[in-house]
Amino acid sequence: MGEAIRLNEIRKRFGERPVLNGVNLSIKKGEVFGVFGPSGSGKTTLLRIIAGLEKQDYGEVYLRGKEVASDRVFIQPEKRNVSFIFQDLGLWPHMSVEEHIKFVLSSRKNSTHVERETRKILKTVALLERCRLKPEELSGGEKQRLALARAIAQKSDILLLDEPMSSLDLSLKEDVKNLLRDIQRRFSLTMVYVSHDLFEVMDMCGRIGILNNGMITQIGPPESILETYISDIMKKIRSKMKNR
Amino acid sequence: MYERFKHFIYFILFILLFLPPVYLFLSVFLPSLKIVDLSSLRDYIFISFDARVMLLFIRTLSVGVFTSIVSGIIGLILAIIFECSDIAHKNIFRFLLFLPFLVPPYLFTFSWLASLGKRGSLAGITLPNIPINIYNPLALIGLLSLSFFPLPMFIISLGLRNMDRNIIDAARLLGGRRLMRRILLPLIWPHVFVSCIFVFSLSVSEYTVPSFLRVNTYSDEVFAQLAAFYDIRRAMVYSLPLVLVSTIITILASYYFRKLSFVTISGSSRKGVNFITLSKHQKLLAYSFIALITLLALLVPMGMMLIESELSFFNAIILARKSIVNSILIGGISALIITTLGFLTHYSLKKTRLLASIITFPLVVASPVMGISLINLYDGLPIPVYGTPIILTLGYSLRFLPFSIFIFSAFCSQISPSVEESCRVCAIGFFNSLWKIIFPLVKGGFVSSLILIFIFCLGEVGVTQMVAPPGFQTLSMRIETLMHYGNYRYVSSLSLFMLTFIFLLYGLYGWVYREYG
Repeated sequence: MGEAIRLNEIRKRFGERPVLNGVNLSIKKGEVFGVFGPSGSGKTTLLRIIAGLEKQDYGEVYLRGKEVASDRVFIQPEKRNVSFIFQDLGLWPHMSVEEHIKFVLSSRKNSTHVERETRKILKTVALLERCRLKPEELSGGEKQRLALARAIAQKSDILLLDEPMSSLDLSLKEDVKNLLRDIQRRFSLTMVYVSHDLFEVMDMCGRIGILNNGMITQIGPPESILETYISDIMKKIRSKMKNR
Repeated sequence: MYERFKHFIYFILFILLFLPPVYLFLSVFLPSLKIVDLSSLRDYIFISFDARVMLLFIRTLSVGVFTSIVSGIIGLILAIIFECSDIAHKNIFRFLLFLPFLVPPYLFTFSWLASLGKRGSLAGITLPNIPINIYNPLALIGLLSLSFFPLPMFIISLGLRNMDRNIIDAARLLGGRRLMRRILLPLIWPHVFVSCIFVFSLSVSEYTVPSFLRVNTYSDEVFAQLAAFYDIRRAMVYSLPLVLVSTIITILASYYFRKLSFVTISGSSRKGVNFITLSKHQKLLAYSFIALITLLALLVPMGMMLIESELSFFNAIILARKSIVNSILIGGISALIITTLGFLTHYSLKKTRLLASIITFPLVVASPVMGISLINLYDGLPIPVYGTPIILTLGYSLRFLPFSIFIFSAFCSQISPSVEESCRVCAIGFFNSLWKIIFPLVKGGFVSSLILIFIFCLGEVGVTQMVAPPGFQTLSMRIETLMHYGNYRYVSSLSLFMLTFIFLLYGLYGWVYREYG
């Protein structure tokens, strides 16, 4: 299976503060990759660099084997064909559910059967009944599903999710997780899932990278990450107890 | 596309805002753009050492400083009463007390003159042993403060309304006095500072009110050099210290903006929470203060106008109908152009520091300087600008574009950046996302800007008088001319007509703000 995303030595500073200090990463097509790290570790910046919403200071970004950002080239986000679910979802407050999807579908070059496709997508995320409502009239879970539907409408094979469930309660989280898994399987999506909740990332992803102080310090399957994570915590606790 | 559009906006702004003052500077020091003109330099050195001009300059700066302090204090008190206290009907008061800012200062000055001036109806009246004399710098500071205090009131209110509720709630647990002194005032200090800078600039560039009160100021001198002596070069040389002050203020403001951020939006808005509970006596004091300001800034001048007009509105309107039509046409077209440009400028430059400078710079350039710089640039160019009404639109753009950008900033601050970013990742074209996503979200701002800029254009007289083509007269120009002839009856009638028009438009603005704001 080929590479969907590749990052080489990505560095980024905001003013004097370094945010990313040389991130190297390779994500395969169809893989669900999780990025876990504490607040301020650079998770969102990493996603924004992949999407092209932020430009790195140094390093290269490859999408589907093609160079999209380096010191020589920079392809704008609208031409990268990646879907993005923002932490605050970024829904368009003046548009109804249906209009969101139609707007994205009709913006594509080959936009045919917009009506039919809209219904199909809304059915997938179980929002067909609520298609005339505006975002402010939807519940938290429904808003999340609308953001997901909009991402599907883009027909991209890469989906970036920035803490997508941070505002949901436990039961809604489960629903959205199931929907995400289902969509990922159905459309063979490559997903990069960013969160500061390790258990959420473990639940969703086949492979996890830990981002700390702007660097990926460990990559592996959920079990090994959890093992290291727990042993790290235990080490810290022991050293604190010793100091007492 | 976004980058190309941004460059296009930079180009337009350069032509519109920066080229006239830059060219003015070059024409003074480098005539024909070849060598330094020593006679200009001599002129410049001469004015630098001329005691009279220096005195005028210092007096003008002092008037600016004191006006900004007085308006800042009035604005701060009113903003705290309206945003934090539990008095009743505050929305009506707030709405009413913004009106003096929309009325051109010369109109209300005229009505005060009509009553307390030398030929005024109350001229003979004196307080016990204190003769009333309105022709002095103190009266100038008072009248300018009564015109400009709504600006600090509005800016500080905005800051208080957007303050994070959690910060206030956490501080409330500490007790009332400490909340005000240690939390509230330090947090809204940037708003107070910025609003005082704006008032300072407006006062320094104002020349109609000082000329009516016969208080010589620097802007008045610049205008006199051009209008009375027709000495463009000397007027340009005199303008330079004002441009220098403007530049220093712009740099200071940008530096200050960078160091101090406005405390906003991280939590839920504090809108509608009254955390200062006033006692009965305190409420009485607050109401008395509001009543006093309303009386002085609104009711007395309007009452005077009504009395002086001797109810001859229709005659005055029929006589001035051509000027009224001109004002509406040129004001409407200019407002539409400025609002569109304001929207596009805000959209293109919102993430850059340049925006703060753009907002501040034209505000601090005196209107006679703007007039001179436009004449200097467009006179002699083989394009039909000078001598046509187009130059008026350019002049209004120069003066009022910052206000339009400011309105869009207020409206756009409610929109999350991800709303626009999601358009980009969804591969929605630049103009498509501008028209279908961003514009519908700021349409309230668009209508508000359209109305407010139209009101400003209607009353503008500083640039209008200098650049208006021969034979072309606007309503504000007609009122100003009649004032100089001392025709109080017609001036009052036309002023009342303008006020009614402004009030109606302001009412419309209020409705738009309530619906979409």
